[in-house]
Amino acid sequence: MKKQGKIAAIFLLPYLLIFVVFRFVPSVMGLFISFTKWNIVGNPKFTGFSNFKRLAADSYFKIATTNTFKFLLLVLPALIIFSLLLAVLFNQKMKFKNAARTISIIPYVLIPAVVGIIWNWLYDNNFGILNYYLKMIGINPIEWLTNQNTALISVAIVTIWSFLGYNMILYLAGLQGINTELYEASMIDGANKFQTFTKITLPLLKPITSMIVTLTLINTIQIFDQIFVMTNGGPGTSTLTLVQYLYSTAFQNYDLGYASTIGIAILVILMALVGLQSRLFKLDD
Amino acid sequence: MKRKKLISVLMSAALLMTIVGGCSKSSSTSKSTDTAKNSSVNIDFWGGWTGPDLDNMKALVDKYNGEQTKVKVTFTSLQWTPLFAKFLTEVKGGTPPDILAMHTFEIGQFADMGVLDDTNIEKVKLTKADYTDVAWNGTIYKDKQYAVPLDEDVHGIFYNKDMFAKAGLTEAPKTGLELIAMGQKLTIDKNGKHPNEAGFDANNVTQYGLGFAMNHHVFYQTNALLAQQGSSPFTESMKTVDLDIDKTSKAIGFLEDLIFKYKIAPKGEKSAVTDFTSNKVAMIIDGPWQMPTLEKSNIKWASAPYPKVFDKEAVWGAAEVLTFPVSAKADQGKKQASADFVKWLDSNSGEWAKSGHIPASKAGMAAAKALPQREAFISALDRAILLPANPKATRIFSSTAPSPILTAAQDAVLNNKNPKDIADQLKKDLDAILAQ
Repeated sequence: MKKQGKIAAIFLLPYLLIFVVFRFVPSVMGLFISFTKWNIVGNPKFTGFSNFKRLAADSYFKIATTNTFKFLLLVLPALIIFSLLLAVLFNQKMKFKNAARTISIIPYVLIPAVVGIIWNWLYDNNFGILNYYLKMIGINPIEWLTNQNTALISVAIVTIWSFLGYNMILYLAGLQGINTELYEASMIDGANKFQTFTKITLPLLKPITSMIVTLTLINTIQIFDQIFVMTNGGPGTSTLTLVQYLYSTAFQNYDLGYASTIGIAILVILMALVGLQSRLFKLDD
Repeated sequence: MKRKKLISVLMSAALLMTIVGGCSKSSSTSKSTDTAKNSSVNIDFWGGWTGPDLDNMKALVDKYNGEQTKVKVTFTSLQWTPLFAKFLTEVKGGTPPDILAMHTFEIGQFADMGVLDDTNIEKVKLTKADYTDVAWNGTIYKDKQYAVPLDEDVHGIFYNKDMFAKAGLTEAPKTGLELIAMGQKLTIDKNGKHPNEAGFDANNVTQYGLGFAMNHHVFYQTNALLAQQGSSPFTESMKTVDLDIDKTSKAIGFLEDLIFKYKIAPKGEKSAVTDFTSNKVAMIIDGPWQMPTLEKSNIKWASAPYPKVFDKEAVWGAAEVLTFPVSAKADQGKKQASADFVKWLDSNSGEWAKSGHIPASKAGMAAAKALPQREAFISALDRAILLPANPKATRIFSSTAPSPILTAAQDAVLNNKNPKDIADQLKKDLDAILAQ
């Protein structure tokens, strides 16, 4: 047993080294830098809590936080509901099931920047294909990415489209892991399909749902690539999200100290949300 | 047991040999590098060109490397923002490039950081008389010259000759009123009606009269229109922005009206040049760097100077320059080699004119004049309004959110907000950044 432990440790060592060098040390350094003023070139100057005070009064940080939470609220429920429905559908006996499953995962494997570029053209106000079809059926064209009220929703639609297939696969794996005897027993007891779904399927999929919620929280709070490609944070600041703000602070303004403070704030927000999520899912057990 | 021990000893030996072999290999690599160093000087040259101009610069570097063997130039290109972030990281690591391209308004920030070497400029042996005043003055920050002029760009008009002929028009608009009138003639809905006719269907326009970038370039146009009213609010040393709200409102109002009142430009246009080359707009306001793209397209086009909307002639301009980053490791030989290459680029800037950019040297400009459709831009250079090299220029003139100029631009051309409110907010946001 001891020997097995040693072998396991040897196999884990390379990852541990990579984790320490590229994840742990930079994270600790980031915490240190958040208490400094630093423009990359010179040496960091310790400024105490001034960056955190600035953060508390920063209107752009408030806008970015609000936008990120709005984005989360748009994406999270849709990703859970639609991916579950899709998984249930693809778990039935149907023709071309494998082809449909494969097609639904394709958006996830595309590089986010490529997805952004494709949708940029689809969303084009004047000559995009979506507005072309809307005009054909007599609906006025929508200003998808150029209206402050619709831009964030438009990006959220793209994110849902991208991640739907991946979540569907997770749910599908969960569905296929459920013992069919449970369904047979419930049918004998006279349960209808809705009751079977709500009393057996949903409770047994809870670990998968919990994982999907955690992954979606992490991915949406850290949303960057699609926003960067599609709207660059605009129009105005209507799609400015936390990581987009961090990026422009660090790599456009070269304000590394303050950017690290934003990074710490993102970490705290994420930890709080994931903590809340695991508590909610645990309470129901 | 013995066998196991033997295997482990053999494996350890093999591992050791691999490591030693790896080390000896790296030693031989460094030896060959040393030999290479003795025979030629290696120069790193970085620039932010990513369009058709990238191919032109690559060709110039290849030409230089092919013409001589003493200096080997390695050219790296990235988009400007990641390029500068990478540059500062390399400065920190002690390995900056030997030559870095940038725009004149970016010089202030990098000069204040102490990462630009002004001493190497002398080695290029420049003569002020060989350049336009705008280009030369752009290289100077706080009375020191930090850069070598490379090129200048200004906004101008590109127009579709076939669409003009069909509308009975023979030449591009010269004034704001002409721009509106011609734009209305060239804007057609699906029923063939124009925006100034009753029953015009704004939701089903098949051809627009005018297109322009709906991003930070709207602010650039606003700045030019301010200059046309005799106002120049942005300076190298400003601590607050002396923004004339009334004149700014008029400038923003003019651009807003092109879209919302006269309906000659598509709201939220994504790529003016793409719409132009696909025959969806008849005119675009854009820069000379688009010319290689237009030259490859199938449309018949011509260029004209930016129109005079208010009392004076003025147009947005930008200039690209070459700088020498500070490097503790660069010896005099390397510095001289960098200067020699920059001098060579300068004397071959006629080739650079093929990229669409207008060379800053008068000799290069003469070569550009011989190329088709460059004249409209060259003739406007003397009235170009460049953004100043304020140390906070990259923040106040940022092209990505959160950016005061982007917010103002998009509030105007996307949201049709009250121009005075936009101007007030712009001043407030700019002053807030300058006060930090």
